[in-house]
Amino acid sequence: MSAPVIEVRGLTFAYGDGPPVLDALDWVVPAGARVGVTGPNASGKSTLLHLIMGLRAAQQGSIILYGRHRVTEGDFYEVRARMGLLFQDSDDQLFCPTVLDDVAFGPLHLGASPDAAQEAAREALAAVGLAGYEERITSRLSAGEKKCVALATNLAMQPDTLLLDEPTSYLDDRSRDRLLSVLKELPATLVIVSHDRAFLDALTRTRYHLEDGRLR
Amino acid sequence: MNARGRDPLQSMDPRARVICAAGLCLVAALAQAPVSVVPALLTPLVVGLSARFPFQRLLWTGLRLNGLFALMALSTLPFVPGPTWQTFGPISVTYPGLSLVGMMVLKGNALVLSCAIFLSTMESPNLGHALARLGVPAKFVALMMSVIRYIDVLQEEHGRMRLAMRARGFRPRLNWLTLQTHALGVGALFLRSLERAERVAAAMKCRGHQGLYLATRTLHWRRRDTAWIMLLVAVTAGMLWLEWKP
Repeated sequence: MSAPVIEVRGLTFAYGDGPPVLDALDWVVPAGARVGVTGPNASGKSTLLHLIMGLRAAQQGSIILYGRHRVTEGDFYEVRARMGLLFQDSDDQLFCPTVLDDVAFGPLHLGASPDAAQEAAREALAAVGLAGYEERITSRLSAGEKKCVALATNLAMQPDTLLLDEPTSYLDDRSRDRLLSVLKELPATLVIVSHDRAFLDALTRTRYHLEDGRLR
Repeated sequence: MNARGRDPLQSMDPRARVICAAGLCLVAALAQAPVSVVPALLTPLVVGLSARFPFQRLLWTGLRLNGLFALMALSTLPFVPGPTWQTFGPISVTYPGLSLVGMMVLKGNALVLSCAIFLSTMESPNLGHALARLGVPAKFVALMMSVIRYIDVLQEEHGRMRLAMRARGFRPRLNWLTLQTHALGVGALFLRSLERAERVAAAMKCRGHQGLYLATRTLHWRRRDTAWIMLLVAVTAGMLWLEWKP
Protein backbone atom coordinates (compact mmCIF):
# COMPACT_ATOMS: atom_id res chain seq x y z
CA MET A 1 0.00 0.00 0.00
CA SER A 2 1.37 3.44 -0.92
CA ALA A 3 1.98 6.07 1.74
CA PRO A 4 -0.85 8.53 2.42
CA VAL A 5 -0.62 11.75 0.44
CA ILE A 6 -1.15 13.92 3.50
CA GLU A 7 -0.37 13.03 7.08
CA VAL A 8 -0.20 15.64 9.84
CA ARG A 9 0.63 14.90 13.46
CA GLY A 10 0.04 17.22 16.38
CA LEU A 11 -0.17 20.26 14.15
CA THR A 12 -0.53 23.48 16.14
CA PHE A 13 -0.75 26.96 14.66
CA ALA A 14 -1.68 30.38 16.01
CA TYR A 15 -1.59 33.84 14.45
CA GLY A 16 0.70 36.04 16.51
CA ASP A 17 -0.13 35.76 20.19
CA GLY A 18 -3.74 34.77 19.53
CA PRO A 19 -5.38 31.51 20.53
CA PRO A 20 -4.37 28.46 18.48
CA VAL A 21 -6.33 28.12 15.25
CA LEU A 22 -5.22 24.53 14.91
CA ASP A 23 -4.67 22.63 18.14
CA ALA A 24 -2.60 19.42 18.03
CA LEU A 25 -4.42 18.35 14.90
CA ASP A 26 -4.02 14.82 13.49
CA TRP A 27 -5.17 14.04 9.97
CA VAL A 28 -4.53 11.48 7.25
CA VAL A 29 -5.62 11.68 3.63
CA PRO A 30 -4.89 8.47 1.70
CA ALA A 31 -3.87 8.54 -1.96
CA GLY A 32 -6.85 8.73 -4.31
CA ALA A 33 -9.24 9.89 -1.59
CA ARG A 34 -11.79 12.64 -2.13
CA VAL A 35 -12.49 14.43 1.11
CA GLY A 36 -14.51 17.48 2.07
CA VAL A 37 -13.74 19.84 4.94
CA THR A 38 -16.42 22.06 6.46
CA GLY A 39 -16.30 24.38 9.44
CA PRO A 40 -17.35 27.82 10.62
CA ASN A 41 -15.69 30.98 9.36
CA ALA A 42 -12.21 31.60 10.74
CA SER A 43 -11.96 28.02 12.00
CA GLY A 44 -8.61 27.56 10.25
CA LYS A 45 -9.61 25.72 7.08
CA SER A 46 -7.57 27.90 4.74
CA THR A 47 -4.73 27.98 7.25
CA LEU A 48 -4.60 24.18 7.23
CA LEU A 49 -4.29 24.13 3.43
CA HIS A 50 -1.57 26.81 3.52
CA LEU A 51 0.38 24.85 6.12
CA ILE A 52 0.21 21.72 3.98
CA MET A 53 1.57 23.68 1.00
CA GLY A 54 4.37 25.08 3.14
CA LEU A 55 3.17 28.67 2.76
CA ARG A 56 3.11 29.17 6.52
CA ALA A 57 5.16 27.52 9.21
CA ALA A 58 3.45 25.63 12.03
CA GLN A 59 4.50 26.26 15.63
CA GLN A 60 4.38 22.57 16.46
CA GLY A 61 3.75 19.21 14.85
CA SER A 62 4.91 17.44 11.76
CA ILE A 63 3.75 17.44 8.16
CA ILE A 64 4.41 14.25 6.23
CA LEU A 65 3.59 14.48 2.53
CA TYR A 66 4.02 11.59 0.09
CA GLY A 67 5.66 9.65 2.91
CA ARG A 68 8.38 12.19 3.77
CA HIS A 69 8.73 14.77 6.51
CA ARG A 70 8.54 18.30 5.10
CA VAL A 71 10.24 21.03 7.05
CA THR A 72 12.30 23.40 4.90
CA GLU A 73 11.25 25.52 1.93
CA GLY A 74 13.28 23.16 -0.26
CA ASP A 75 11.20 20.17 0.91
CA PHE A 76 8.07 21.94 -0.26
CA TYR A 77 9.34 22.81 -3.78
CA GLU A 78 9.05 19.14 -4.59
CA VAL A 79 5.58 18.97 -3.05
CA ARG A 80 4.29 21.99 -4.96
CA ALA A 81 5.28 20.38 -8.23
CA ARG A 82 2.80 17.55 -7.49
CA MET A 83 0.18 19.21 -5.31
CA GLY A 84 -1.96 22.13 -6.44
CA LEU A 85 -3.87 24.70 -4.37
CA LEU A 86 -6.87 26.58 -5.72
CA PHE A 87 -7.01 29.87 -3.84
CA GLN A 88 -10.20 31.30 -2.46
CA ASP A 89 -9.74 34.61 -4.29
CA SER A 90 -8.75 34.11 -7.93
CA ASP A 91 -7.22 37.60 -8.08
CA ASP A 92 -4.60 36.33 -5.66
CA GLN A 93 -3.87 33.32 -7.80
CA LEU A 94 -3.73 34.92 -11.23
CA PHE A 95 -0.82 37.30 -11.24
CA CYS A 96 0.15 37.55 -14.92
CA PRO A 97 -1.29 40.05 -17.40
CA THR A 98 -2.62 37.49 -19.88
CA VAL A 99 -4.32 34.13 -19.41
CA LEU A 100 -1.70 32.20 -21.38
CA ASP A 101 1.20 33.66 -19.39
CA ASP A 102 -0.54 32.76 -16.18
CA VAL A 103 -1.32 29.16 -17.04
CA ALA A 104 2.13 28.62 -18.56
CA PHE A 105 3.89 30.04 -15.47
CA GLY A 106 3.81 26.76 -13.51
CA PRO A 107 5.16 24.43 -16.22
CA LEU A 108 7.78 27.04 -17.13
CA HIS A 109 9.05 27.20 -13.56
CA LEU A 110 9.08 23.43 -13.35
CA GLY A 111 11.61 23.48 -16.17
CA ALA A 112 9.54 23.15 -19.35
CA SER A 113 10.66 25.02 -22.47
CA PRO A 114 8.53 28.06 -23.43
CA ASP A 115 6.92 26.09 -26.28
CA ALA A 116 6.16 23.06 -24.10
CA ALA A 117 4.81 25.32 -21.34
CA GLN A 118 2.50 27.04 -23.81
CA GLU A 119 1.31 23.69 -25.13
CA ALA A 120 0.56 22.49 -21.58
CA ALA A 121 -1.27 25.77 -20.93
CA ARG A 122 -3.42 25.39 -24.04
CA GLU A 123 -4.36 21.84 -23.07
CA ALA A 124 -5.25 22.88 -19.52
CA LEU A 125 -7.40 25.76 -20.81
CA ALA A 126 -9.20 23.42 -23.19
CA ALA A 127 -9.82 21.03 -20.28
CA VAL A 128 -11.69 23.72 -18.33
CA GLY A 129 -13.62 24.81 -21.42
CA LEU A 130 -11.67 28.02 -22.02
CA ALA A 131 -9.96 27.26 -25.32
CA GLY A 132 -9.49 30.54 -27.19
CA TYR A 133 -8.98 32.56 -24.00
CA GLU A 134 -5.18 32.51 -24.31
CA GLU A 135 -4.64 36.16 -25.19
CA ARG A 136 -7.37 37.56 -22.94
CA ILE A 137 -6.34 40.05 -20.27
CA THR A 138 -6.76 38.30 -16.92
CA SER A 139 -8.09 41.28 -14.99
CA ARG A 140 -10.94 41.73 -17.47
CA LEU A 141 -12.41 38.23 -16.96
CA SER A 142 -15.57 37.49 -14.97
CA ALA A 143 -15.31 35.83 -11.55
CA GLY A 144 -16.38 32.47 -13.00
CA GLU A 145 -13.85 32.67 -15.81
CA LYS A 146 -11.11 33.66 -13.37
CA LYS A 147 -11.89 30.64 -11.20
CA CYS A 148 -11.65 28.32 -14.21
CA VAL A 149 -8.37 29.91 -15.33
CA ALA A 150 -7.07 29.48 -11.77
CA LEU A 151 -8.01 25.80 -11.96
CA ALA A 152 -6.24 25.58 -15.34
CA THR A 153 -3.05 27.03 -13.80
CA ASN A 154 -3.12 24.03 -11.48
CA LEU A 155 -4.05 21.47 -14.13
CA ALA A 156 -1.20 22.63 -16.38
CA MET A 157 1.21 21.35 -13.72
CA GLN A 158 -0.51 17.94 -13.80
CA PRO A 159 -0.95 17.63 -10.05
CA ASP A 160 -1.78 14.28 -8.49
CA THR A 161 -3.36 16.08 -5.55
CA LEU A 162 -5.53 19.18 -5.56
CA LEU A 163 -6.49 21.27 -2.53
CA LEU A 164 -9.46 23.56 -3.18
CA ASP A 165 -10.27 26.51 -0.93
CA GLU A 166 -13.93 27.51 -1.28
CA PRO A 167 -14.00 26.73 -5.00
CA THR A 168 -17.63 27.75 -5.50
CA SER A 169 -17.55 31.17 -3.87
CA TYR A 170 -18.56 33.96 -6.32
CA LEU A 171 -19.66 31.39 -8.93
CA ASP A 172 -23.01 31.38 -10.69
CA ASP A 173 -24.79 28.07 -11.35
CA ARG A 174 -23.31 27.56 -14.80
CA SER A 175 -19.72 28.17 -13.74
CA ARG A 176 -20.28 25.99 -10.69
CA ASP A 177 -21.59 23.11 -12.81
CA ARG A 178 -18.67 23.41 -15.19
CA LEU A 179 -16.21 23.31 -12.29
CA LEU A 180 -18.05 20.29 -10.90
CA SER A 181 -17.82 18.33 -14.13
CA VAL A 182 -14.10 19.12 -14.57
CA LEU A 183 -13.32 17.98 -11.01
CA LYS A 184 -15.42 14.81 -11.38
CA GLU A 185 -13.28 13.66 -14.28
CA LEU A 186 -9.98 14.60 -12.66
CA PRO A 187 -7.84 11.59 -11.64
CA ALA A 188 -6.41 13.23 -8.52
CA THR A 189 -6.66 13.14 -4.75
CA LEU A 190 -9.04 15.96 -3.81
CA VAL A 191 -9.34 17.97 -0.61
CA ILE A 192 -12.23 20.42 -0.84
CA VAL A 193 -12.87 23.11 1.75
CA SER A 194 -16.38 24.43 1.20
CA HIS A 195 -19.64 25.62 2.71
CA ASP A 196 -21.46 24.33 -0.37
CA ARG A 197 -22.96 21.04 0.88
CA ALA A 198 -24.42 20.00 -2.48
CA PHE A 199 -21.03 20.53 -4.14
CA LEU A 200 -19.32 18.40 -1.50
CA ASP A 201 -22.01 15.71 -1.80
CA ALA A 202 -21.41 15.50 -5.53
CA LEU A 203 -17.64 15.14 -5.25
CA THR A 204 -16.57 13.67 -1.92
CA ARG A 205 -17.27 10.56 0.11
CA THR A 206 -15.54 11.45 3.37
CA ARG A 207 -16.41 14.59 5.27
CA TYR A 208 -14.49 16.32 8.07
CA HIS A 209 -15.60 19.15 10.26
CA LEU A 210 -12.99 21.59 11.58
CA GLU A 211 -13.95 23.33 14.80
CA ASP A 212 -12.02 24.48 17.87
CA GLY A 213 -8.73 23.54 16.23
CA ARG A 214 -9.62 19.88 15.70
CA LEU A 215 -10.95 17.83 12.81
CA ARG A 216 -13.87 15.53 13.41
CA MET B 1 5.44 51.36 -45.99
CA ASN B 2 2.21 51.39 -47.90
CA ALA B 3 -1.22 51.97 -46.49
CA ARG B 4 -2.79 49.15 -48.45
CA GLY B 5 -0.55 46.44 -47.07
CA ARG B 6 -0.96 44.85 -43.65
CA ASP B 7 -0.88 47.23 -40.73
CA PRO B 8 2.84 48.03 -40.47
CA LEU B 9 2.62 48.54 -36.70
CA GLN B 10 0.86 45.32 -35.77
CA SER B 11 3.30 43.24 -37.77
CA MET B 12 6.26 44.89 -36.08
CA ASP B 13 8.22 43.00 -33.43
CA PRO B 14 7.65 44.53 -29.95
CA ARG B 15 11.40 44.87 -29.51
CA ALA B 16 11.70 46.89 -32.74
CA ARG B 17 8.94 49.17 -31.49
CA VAL B 18 10.66 49.77 -28.18
CA ILE B 19 13.94 50.51 -29.94
CA CYS B 20 12.25 52.94 -32.38
CA ALA B 21 10.39 54.80 -29.64
CA ALA B 22 13.45 54.96 -27.37
CA GLY B 23 15.74 56.07 -30.22
CA LEU B 24 13.43 58.84 -31.40
CA CYS B 25 12.75 60.07 -27.85
CA LEU B 26 16.41 60.10 -26.91
CA VAL B 27 17.59 62.06 -29.93
CA ALA B 28 14.63 64.45 -29.76
CA ALA B 29 15.23 65.10 -26.07
CA LEU B 30 18.92 65.81 -26.56
CA ALA B 31 18.60 67.90 -29.73
CA GLN B 32 19.61 71.57 -29.50
CA ALA B 33 18.33 72.87 -32.85
CA PRO B 34 14.59 73.00 -33.60
CA VAL B 35 15.07 71.71 -37.14
CA SER B 36 16.60 68.46 -35.86
CA VAL B 37 13.52 67.69 -33.76
CA VAL B 38 11.23 67.84 -36.77
CA PRO B 39 12.10 64.31 -38.05
CA ALA B 40 11.19 62.88 -34.63
CA LEU B 41 7.81 64.53 -35.02
CA LEU B 42 7.29 63.52 -38.64
CA THR B 43 8.36 59.86 -38.40
CA PRO B 44 5.66 58.75 -35.92
CA LEU B 45 3.15 60.90 -37.78
CA VAL B 46 3.88 59.18 -41.11
CA VAL B 47 3.96 55.72 -39.52
CA GLY B 48 0.72 56.45 -37.67
CA LEU B 49 -1.00 57.65 -40.84
CA SER B 50 0.11 54.60 -42.79
CA ALA B 51 -1.13 52.31 -39.98
CA ARG B 52 -4.41 54.25 -39.85
CA PHE B 53 -3.81 55.10 -36.23
CA PRO B 54 -6.95 56.69 -34.76
CA PHE B 55 -5.45 60.12 -34.13
CA GLN B 56 -8.70 61.43 -32.67
CA ARG B 57 -7.97 59.23 -29.64
CA LEU B 58 -4.86 61.32 -29.07
CA LEU B 59 -6.69 64.61 -29.42
CA TRP B 60 -7.63 65.03 -25.76
CA THR B 61 -4.17 64.02 -24.51
CA GLY B 62 -2.59 66.36 -27.05
CA LEU B 63 -4.80 69.27 -26.01
CA ARG B 64 -4.04 68.77 -22.34
CA LEU B 65 -0.33 68.45 -23.01
CA ASN B 66 -0.22 71.63 -25.06
CA GLY B 67 -2.36 73.41 -22.50
CA LEU B 68 0.32 72.54 -19.97
CA PHE B 69 2.96 73.91 -22.35
CA ALA B 70 0.98 77.12 -22.71
CA LEU B 71 1.01 77.50 -18.92
CA MET B 72 4.73 76.83 -18.82
CA ALA B 73 5.30 79.30 -21.65
CA LEU B 74 3.44 81.99 -19.72
CA SER B 75 5.59 81.37 -16.67
CA THR B 76 8.87 81.14 -18.64
CA LEU B 77 8.65 83.78 -21.32
CA PRO B 78 8.94 86.92 -19.15
CA PHE B 79 12.08 85.63 -17.46
CA VAL B 80 14.32 84.78 -20.41
CA PRO B 81 16.79 87.60 -21.02
CA GLY B 82 17.88 88.67 -24.51
CA PRO B 83 16.91 90.92 -27.40
CA THR B 84 13.23 91.93 -27.16
CA TRP B 85 10.68 90.80 -29.73
CA GLN B 86 7.61 92.58 -28.36
CA THR B 87 6.50 94.26 -25.17
CA PHE B 88 3.15 93.67 -23.51
CA GLY B 89 2.83 96.24 -20.74
CA PRO B 90 5.47 95.45 -18.12
CA ILE B 91 6.32 92.10 -19.79
CA SER B 92 8.75 91.86 -22.65
CA VAL B 93 9.01 88.73 -24.75
CA THR B 94 12.50 87.97 -26.04
CA TYR B 95 13.72 85.99 -29.05
CA PRO B 96 15.58 83.42 -26.91
CA GLY B 97 12.38 83.02 -24.87
CA LEU B 98 10.37 82.29 -27.98
CA SER B 99 12.83 79.72 -29.25
CA LEU B 100 12.95 78.03 -25.82
CA VAL B 101 9.17 77.71 -25.72
CA GLY B 102 9.14 76.55 -29.34
CA MET B 103 11.63 73.79 -28.52
CA MET B 104 9.60 72.75 -25.50
CA VAL B 105 6.45 72.36 -27.59
CA LEU B 106 8.26 70.56 -30.43
CA LYS B 107 10.10 68.13 -28.15
CA GLY B 108 7.10 67.40 -25.94
CA ASN B 109 4.89 66.60 -28.88
CA ALA B 110 7.58 64.51 -30.57
CA LEU B 111 8.04 62.42 -27.41
CA VAL B 112 4.33 61.88 -26.82
CA LEU B 113 3.69 61.07 -30.47
CA SER B 114 6.57 58.55 -30.65
CA CYS B 115 5.38 56.74 -27.52
CA ALA B 116 1.74 56.84 -28.60
CA ILE B 117 2.39 55.41 -32.05
CA PHE B 118 5.04 52.81 -31.25
CA LEU B 119 4.24 51.80 -27.66
CA SER B 120 0.60 52.46 -26.86
CA THR B 121 -0.53 50.41 -29.85
CA MET B 122 0.62 47.10 -28.36
CA GLU B 123 -0.87 45.19 -25.46
CA SER B 124 1.06 45.96 -22.31
CA PRO B 125 2.22 42.33 -21.71
CA ASN B 126 4.10 42.49 -25.01
CA LEU B 127 5.91 45.59 -23.81
CA GLY B 128 7.04 43.63 -20.75
CA HIS B 129 8.29 40.74 -22.85
CA ALA B 130 10.07 43.10 -25.22
CA LEU B 131 11.84 44.86 -22.34
CA ALA B 132 12.86 41.51 -20.83
CA ARG B 133 14.35 40.41 -24.16
CA LEU B 134 16.16 43.72 -24.57
CA GLY B 135 18.08 43.10 -21.36
CA VAL B 136 16.12 45.28 -18.94
CA PRO B 137 16.73 43.84 -15.43
CA ALA B 138 14.34 40.95 -14.66
CA LYS B 139 13.24 42.46 -11.37
CA PHE B 140 12.15 45.67 -13.07
CA VAL B 141 10.18 43.72 -15.69
CA ALA B 142 8.55 41.55 -13.01
CA LEU B 143 7.53 44.70 -11.12
CA MET B 144 6.14 46.25 -14.26
CA MET B 145 4.15 43.13 -15.12
CA SER B 146 2.69 43.04 -11.59
CA VAL B 147 1.69 46.68 -11.89
CA ILE B 148 -0.02 45.97 -15.20
CA ARG B 149 -1.86 43.03 -13.67
CA TYR B 150 -2.93 44.62 -10.40
CA ILE B 151 -3.63 48.24 -11.27
CA ASP B 152 -7.21 47.31 -12.25
CA VAL B 153 -7.69 45.28 -9.07
CA LEU B 154 -6.52 48.25 -7.01
CA GLN B 155 -8.84 50.54 -8.89
CA GLU B 156 -11.78 48.19 -8.31
CA GLU B 157 -10.91 47.92 -4.63
CA HIS B 158 -10.73 51.69 -4.41
CA GLY B 159 -14.09 51.93 -6.18
CA ARG B 160 -15.70 49.44 -3.80
CA MET B 161 -14.33 51.33 -0.82
CA ARG B 162 -15.69 54.62 -2.17
CA LEU B 163 -19.10 52.97 -2.61
CA ALA B 164 -19.02 51.63 0.94
CA MET B 165 -18.11 55.10 2.23
CA ARG B 166 -20.89 56.76 0.27
CA ALA B 167 -23.37 54.13 1.39
CA ARG B 168 -22.62 55.28 4.92
CA GLY B 169 -23.28 58.89 4.17
CA PHE B 170 -19.81 60.13 3.17
CA ARG B 171 -19.85 63.26 1.03
CA PRO B 172 -16.54 64.86 0.13
CA ARG B 173 -16.35 68.40 1.41
CA LEU B 174 -13.53 70.82 1.98
CA ASN B 175 -12.98 70.01 5.64
CA TRP B 176 -10.87 68.08 8.08
CA LEU B 177 -13.23 65.08 8.19
CA THR B 178 -12.98 64.60 4.43
CA LEU B 179 -9.18 64.70 4.60
CA GLN B 180 -9.23 62.21 7.45
CA THR B 181 -11.55 59.89 5.57
CA HIS B 182 -9.35 60.02 2.47
CA ALA B 183 -6.28 59.28 4.57
CA LEU B 184 -8.06 56.30 6.10
CA GLY B 185 -9.00 55.12 2.62
CA VAL B 186 -5.43 55.35 1.33
CA GLY B 187 -4.17 53.57 4.45
CA ALA B 188 -6.69 50.77 4.02
CA LEU B 189 -5.74 50.43 0.37
CA PHE B 190 -2.06 50.15 1.30
CA LEU B 191 -2.79 47.53 3.92
CA ARG B 192 -5.00 45.49 1.62
CA SER B 193 -2.40 45.70 -1.14
CA LEU B 194 0.28 44.47 1.22
CA GLU B 195 -1.86 41.53 2.28
CA ARG B 196 -2.69 40.75 -1.31
CA ALA B 197 0.98 40.91 -2.22
CA GLU B 198 1.66 38.26 0.41
CA ARG B 199 -1.07 36.02 -0.98
CA VAL B 200 0.19 36.53 -4.53
CA ALA B 201 3.71 35.64 -3.43
CA ALA B 202 2.26 32.45 -1.92
CA ALA B 203 0.49 31.66 -5.21
CA MET B 204 3.75 32.16 -7.10
CA LYS B 205 5.53 29.78 -4.74
CA CYS B 206 2.80 27.19 -5.32
CA ARG B 207 3.66 27.27 -8.97
CA GLY B 208 7.33 26.70 -8.52
CA HIS B 209 8.53 30.32 -8.48
CA GLN B 210 11.98 30.66 -6.92
CA GLY B 211 12.69 34.30 -7.65
CA LEU B 212 13.34 34.33 -11.40
CA TYR B 213 11.21 35.94 -14.05
CA LEU B 214 10.88 33.65 -17.05
CA ALA B 215 9.39 34.99 -20.28
CA THR B 216 6.65 32.75 -21.64
CA ARG B 217 6.71 33.91 -25.19
CA THR B 218 9.11 33.51 -28.00
CA LEU B 219 9.28 36.62 -30.14
CA HIS B 220 10.11 36.38 -33.81
CA TRP B 221 12.44 38.95 -35.29
CA ARG B 222 11.88 39.29 -39.02
CA ARG B 223 13.62 41.01 -41.89
CA ARG B 224 10.97 43.70 -41.85
CA ASP B 225 11.96 44.54 -38.26
CA THR B 226 15.56 45.01 -39.31
CA ALA B 227 14.25 47.32 -42.04
CA TRP B 228 12.46 49.36 -39.37
CA ILE B 229 15.62 49.70 -37.36
CA MET B 230 17.52 50.78 -40.48
CA LEU B 231 14.86 53.41 -41.08
CA LEU B 232 15.22 54.59 -37.50
CA VAL B 233 18.99 54.77 -37.84
CA ALA B 234 18.58 56.79 -41.04
CA VAL B 235 16.16 59.20 -39.35
CA THR B 236 18.31 59.69 -36.27
CA ALA B 237 21.42 60.08 -38.43
CA GLY B 238 19.52 62.77 -40.34
CA MET B 239 18.61 64.46 -37.06
CA LEU B 240 22.23 64.40 -35.91
CA TRP B 241 23.36 65.78 -39.26
CA LEU B 242 20.83 68.61 -39.02
CA GLU B 243 22.13 69.26 -35.53
CA TRP B 244 25.81 69.48 -36.43
CA LYS B 245 25.89 70.44 -40.09
CA PRO B 246 28.23 73.35 -40.73
